[in-house]
Amino acid sequence: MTASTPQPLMDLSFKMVIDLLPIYVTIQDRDLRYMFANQTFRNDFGDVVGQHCYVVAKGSQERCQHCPVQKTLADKKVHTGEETIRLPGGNLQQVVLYTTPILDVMGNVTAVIELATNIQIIKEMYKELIFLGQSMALLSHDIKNILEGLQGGVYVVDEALADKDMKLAAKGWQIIKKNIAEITRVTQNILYSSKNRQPRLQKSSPVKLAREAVDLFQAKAGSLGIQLISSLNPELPGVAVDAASISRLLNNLIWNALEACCKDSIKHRHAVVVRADFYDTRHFMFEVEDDADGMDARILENLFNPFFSTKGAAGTGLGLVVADRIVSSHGGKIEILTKTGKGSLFRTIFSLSTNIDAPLHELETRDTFNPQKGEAHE
Amino acid sequence: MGGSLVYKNILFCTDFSDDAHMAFVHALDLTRKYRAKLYLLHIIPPLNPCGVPPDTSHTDKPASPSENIHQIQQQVLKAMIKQYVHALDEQDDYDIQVCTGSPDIEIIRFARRFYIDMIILGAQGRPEKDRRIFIRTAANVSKFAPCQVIAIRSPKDQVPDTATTL
Repeated sequence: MTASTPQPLMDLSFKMVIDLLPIYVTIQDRDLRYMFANQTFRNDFGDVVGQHCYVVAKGSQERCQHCPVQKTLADKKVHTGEETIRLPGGNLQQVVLYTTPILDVMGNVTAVIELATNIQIIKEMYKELIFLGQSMALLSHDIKNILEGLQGGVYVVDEALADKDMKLAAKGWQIIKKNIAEITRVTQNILYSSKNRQPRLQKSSPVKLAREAVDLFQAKAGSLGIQLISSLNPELPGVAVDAASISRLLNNLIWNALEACCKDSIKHRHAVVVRADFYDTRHFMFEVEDDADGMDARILENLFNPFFSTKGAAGTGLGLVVADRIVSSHGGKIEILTKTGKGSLFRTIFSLSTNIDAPLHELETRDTFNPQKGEAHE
Repeated sequence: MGGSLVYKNILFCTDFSDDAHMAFVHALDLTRKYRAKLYLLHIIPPLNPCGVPPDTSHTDKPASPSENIHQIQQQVLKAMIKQYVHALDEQDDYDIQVCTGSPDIEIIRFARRFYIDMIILGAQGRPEKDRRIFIRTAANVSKFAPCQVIAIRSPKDQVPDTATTL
């Protein structure tokens, strides 16, 4: 401090300034263990020195895949990134990270300084604004298309009534029912995606939910010439999930798969497979797999962005946003396999630990790796 | 037509099953034939596939400290060296990797990252009672991989010699 430094600043050391900063400032060693954390960080996470960052900030035993600290350790450069961290109370917080290396005299990285700024509010506002801005255009566009479909159905029924042709009337009624189903689905997805719902957990059978979803789409699949196959493991126990949400998730994934098959003009025969099975001893999964034309990198990148759709007038782009939200609200995960020209597989993984009849401690757990018990290559 | 096949990078994936051991024999054979680089890969199923620690609040037993992914990785590496690397003989151009995640996703990600020309893996995997994870790895890799895939099924009476060294 110089002689001209104002009195209030005279008492501040650099460490105090860093402690007072309203952002997280930490220093991590090469093993990703905290060497230092400022007061703001300690207020939220406690004394973390010596602990791994991914354990403290992620509640995970595994290193993060896209970690700017590891990048800085590797190339000695400044990196930025966005991460979702888990506060000790369980709340998630989105942060933007900046990492910069600390070098020794030989130029080797000995540690990395990480700054993390909370951008949760900005992210939420950003999503809300996008949603608001696009909702009106989307609604009018989609409802217009569906109304045209309804008018077509009404016209067919009118003609049939005039001619007393019951066969034609039945066809027209099918068109009307299809469009009513569409408008119901669109409206429910918009309602679901426009507010944060807490899942209402109740004991449900994953197999039953999957079977109901398959049954719901059997007629549609049949009319499109698509085989809809279910492969459901009856051994799956009851789990505590929001049954209505899981049904919506499965409906959206199956609907997407059927639409993808319709769009694929290369192959003439298609099949969609719906599976419900164990993922491992502590998790179960649903898989919806199609043999349509797959997705390229651009589609994959935008897959969970609201209103991004590859279906043109036939899609709102909300189906996967809703699916993602449902999976997140259940603490689950979505995995996607896809290949252009081959098809796509959507896998959703959920914990069995909410299984009411068989608590976690009764299930087999893994302590160490045993080559006699590797994972399966079915 | 008429162009010759070139395989520069061959990926062998193992779950330490009999099929995988037989697949290794084929992978090594093809690696030598094409003078390729051989990648040996094992995927450890994730402890927390959903990204959150398992809920143990209703149990007295906290998450086991031995459930440490790095310890498991070290054990896997040792097993891979014992099982396969000793059988490589003069095949110097190889790399061993251990990753964590859903095997099909990670194998395909690995294949893209290292420009793999061919993936060789066991078709059936371990018997159901020994499985850690129940996804259809071989089928999914065969369908979605960016390169050729060979899934090897090992008849019970043709388990290669290397399998007995475990």
